[in-house]
Amino acid sequence: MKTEILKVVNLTKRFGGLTANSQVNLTAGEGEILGLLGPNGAGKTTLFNCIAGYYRADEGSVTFRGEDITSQSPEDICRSGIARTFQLVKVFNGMTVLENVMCGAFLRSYRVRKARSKAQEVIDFLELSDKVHIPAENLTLPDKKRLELARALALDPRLIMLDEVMAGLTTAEIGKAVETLSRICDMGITLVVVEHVMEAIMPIAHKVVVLDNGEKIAEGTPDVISSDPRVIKAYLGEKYVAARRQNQS
Amino acid sequence: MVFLRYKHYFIGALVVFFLVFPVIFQKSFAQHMMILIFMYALLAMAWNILGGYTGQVSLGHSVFFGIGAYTSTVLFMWYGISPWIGMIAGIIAAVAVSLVVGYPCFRLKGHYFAIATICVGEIVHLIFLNWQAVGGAIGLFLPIVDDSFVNFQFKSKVPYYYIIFGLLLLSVATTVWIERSRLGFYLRGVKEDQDAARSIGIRATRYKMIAMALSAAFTAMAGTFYAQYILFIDPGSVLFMMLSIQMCLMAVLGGTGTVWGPLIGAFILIPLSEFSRASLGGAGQGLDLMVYGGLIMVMSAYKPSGLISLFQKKE
Repeated sequence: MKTEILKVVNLTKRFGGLTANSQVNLTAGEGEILGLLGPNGAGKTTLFNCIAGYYRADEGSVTFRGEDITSQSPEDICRSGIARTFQLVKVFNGMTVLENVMCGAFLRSYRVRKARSKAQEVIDFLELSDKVHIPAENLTLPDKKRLELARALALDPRLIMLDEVMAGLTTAEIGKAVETLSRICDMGITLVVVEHVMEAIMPIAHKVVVLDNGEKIAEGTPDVISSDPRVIKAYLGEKYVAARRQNQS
Repeated sequence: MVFLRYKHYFIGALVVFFLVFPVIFQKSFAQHMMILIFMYALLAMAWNILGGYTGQVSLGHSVFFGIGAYTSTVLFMWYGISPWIGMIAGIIAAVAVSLVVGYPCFRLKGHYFAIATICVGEIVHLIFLNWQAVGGAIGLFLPIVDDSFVNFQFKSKVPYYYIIFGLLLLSVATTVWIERSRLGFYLRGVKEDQDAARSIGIRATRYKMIAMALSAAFTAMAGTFYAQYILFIDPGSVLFMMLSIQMCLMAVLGGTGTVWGPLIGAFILIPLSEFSRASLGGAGQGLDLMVYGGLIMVMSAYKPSGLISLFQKKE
């Protein structure tokens, strides 16, 4: 296994009486794509927000590159090298594509000219070049998601957490998004990808963690995961598992 | 549009026009009107830094205006300190208050922030109404002293004209600088979406405080100028809630979050209010305000992004 970059230990998050995450452990290796799967309501986004500092974990710790980042503010976590996108796209609607990405690039350079050239570079990389001066509000959903990713990339992060980037995309668009993700991974950036569309993430993930009802129910390579009975049960229900067992015998 | 193509010449011509204005128009009313327009434009520019670029609608900005006016006046009356130094002291005091008030208020978002600023404005108004040492409800009459730059008192309106014009240019230059720098990008980011801004490392609260401090500084500057120009201040004139609302109205009417919007707003609303007060004022208190209100309603229905949008290119 590659060197560990992100480590979550025994993380628990409760909302009143509801336990959204219970004793979750996970690690991501440097340069890896880690898939975080689970049906709706499994606690993926909660876990994600705990790591990114938007929620304060009740128990447990998050370590990033050997540094404890538990319950730091989102701003500080971003500065330490974790970028994120949002499940419901949050681009700066009143700004152009270039200005959006420049806002990200300003984290590492105070100078406007430098930020602009950095932003331009990222925009070219993500194939948004023909839309540089279009206000973000006029973009289509896939382009907005791409823009959000560009803004995150402009931060020069070591790790990017993506919250359901594929949701709402067509099959063709998913294919393109998957290809983009593997190109980002090739740059040496670790990716934590939250997804409930299994097919999207299985081909590129190095490792997959599956959550159900706030608990980790499986972890392993995509092949192992997709035949794990607990995972199938969580996704497809008891009956499907029983039927499958009957068919096999 | 023609306006856009020749923008630089147009602005240059305007500046030259305003520089020679007092020479051409020697009537005291014309000069007084321009001084008022410039002063309110300065206030609208100041409000725009926080309300326009950062999206934090404050309806308590009269506090900073009052602090600017009272600080320089009190320092001059009690210790004979030049109002110019008083202006700097007023700016420092206003910035300090803005930070103390801003920190708790910025925990509130949207409407709640606006309501909190109204409360702060009213509290400060009441404090000054009852603070006998600084004149209470009666206010302070500035002693008339010799005409001089150091004393910031002139018999003619012309020096006032150039001083306020200079201060206004300073605020325009600052706004242009903000707009082009990282600060401007960050402020707009906070305005658009605070969560997203934080996710890219923008310390939202800190940037809101910076915007508030800059905004307070320019507002206090205008406050000192007002005190020196009118030579009388009381809570009803410098800590009046309508003043806060007017600052907001001018910026909104002209177009928030732009350099030129607040200027356009001031150039329309102030003459409108002065002329309607002069011609309709006798017909009953507040008729000028009704004209005002009607205009705002028409604007929000047909041009919600302000008059500036008439001049902007559509993408």
